[in-house]
Amino acid sequence: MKATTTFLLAIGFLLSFSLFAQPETIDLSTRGPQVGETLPEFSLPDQNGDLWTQESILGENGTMLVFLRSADW
Amino acid sequence: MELQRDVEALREAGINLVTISYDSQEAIKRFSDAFGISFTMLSDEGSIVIERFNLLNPVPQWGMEFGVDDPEMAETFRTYVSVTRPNELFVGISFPGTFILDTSGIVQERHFEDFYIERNTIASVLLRRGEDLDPIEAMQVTTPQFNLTTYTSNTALAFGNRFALMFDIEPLEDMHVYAPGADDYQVVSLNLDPNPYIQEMAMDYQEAVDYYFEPFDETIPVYLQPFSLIQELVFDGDPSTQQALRGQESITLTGSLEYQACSSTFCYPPASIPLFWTMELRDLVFRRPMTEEQ
Repeated sequence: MKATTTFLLAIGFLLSFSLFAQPETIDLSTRGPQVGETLPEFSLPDQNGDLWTQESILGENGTMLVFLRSADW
Repeated sequence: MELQRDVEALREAGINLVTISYDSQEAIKRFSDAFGISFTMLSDEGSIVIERFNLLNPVPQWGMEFGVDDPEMAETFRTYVSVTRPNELFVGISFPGTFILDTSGIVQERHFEDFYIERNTIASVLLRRGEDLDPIEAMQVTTPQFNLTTYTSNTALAFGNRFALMFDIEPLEDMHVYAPGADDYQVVSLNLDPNPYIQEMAMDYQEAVDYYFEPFDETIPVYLQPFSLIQELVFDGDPSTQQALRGQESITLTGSLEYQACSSTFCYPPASIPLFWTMELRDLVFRRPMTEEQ
């Protein structure tokens, strides 16, 4: 019984490893906050070294938050 | 930079523009100084926040681990990262997405691009929100049934831009224009002439009203009041397109607005209005700002 359990755990481990190791299909609709949700908390520096949070970025009539791949290339 | 060019339109609309990328604060400072950036650029070096948002792009890592010899992997890499070879430099990038937040920070809209080089232009996003923009040259047409004003979201296009053709239609008194669902009539629609560099998205129709048309004793979806149609398009960002259009200063799209309109007593036959839109072409900024050592 113990040997069988160990064997099944080993198979499970190998299976999970192979699942995580292989590229999955990209589904952008599930990525990032959805409509109606709020943003996760953050605190990040801007180009001048000032810190901004999910609350301090909010503008008078709203905010456009753009995720860039990179500003540097 | 694309965003900097339109930042004033956002500012006047009371909307803050903020970017997040995996660049170091020094790199963002360098970029900001080099291109005169006046909006807030946030540095998420290490991609911790990008990961917290579930926006970390895993494809660069896959490219490093598995290579791009497999055609499927090569296509995925080309779509989500770059047309170049895998490079450690790409690891940590986010998927390029835009979130529109209300004043409480609740997400109102999300826009993602299907190809890494596609970018929703600010003008296109603002138009969808119904915000006023600086006057853009528009074409105006008067028919016996309505007045049409059509214009583009952008006066200039860069490769990979997502943009929109706008149609503001004002039915004349007692007139109605047939909307989607009016199957026995010519529903108002755009017939864009094929262009190898332009990809057409689905037409964004405003909600119609049910109208009782007494002569035929039927109820059909129509537009009775002024309404707008938005046709989103993507200008191809593939290097082969950039090569093919090198040196060209503008691009002109042609097509026609197909429609049928009736009054409460008389039904006009289907009709077509030929239209065209011209936009300047411009380059995207992809180059790395020069450092002092360079």
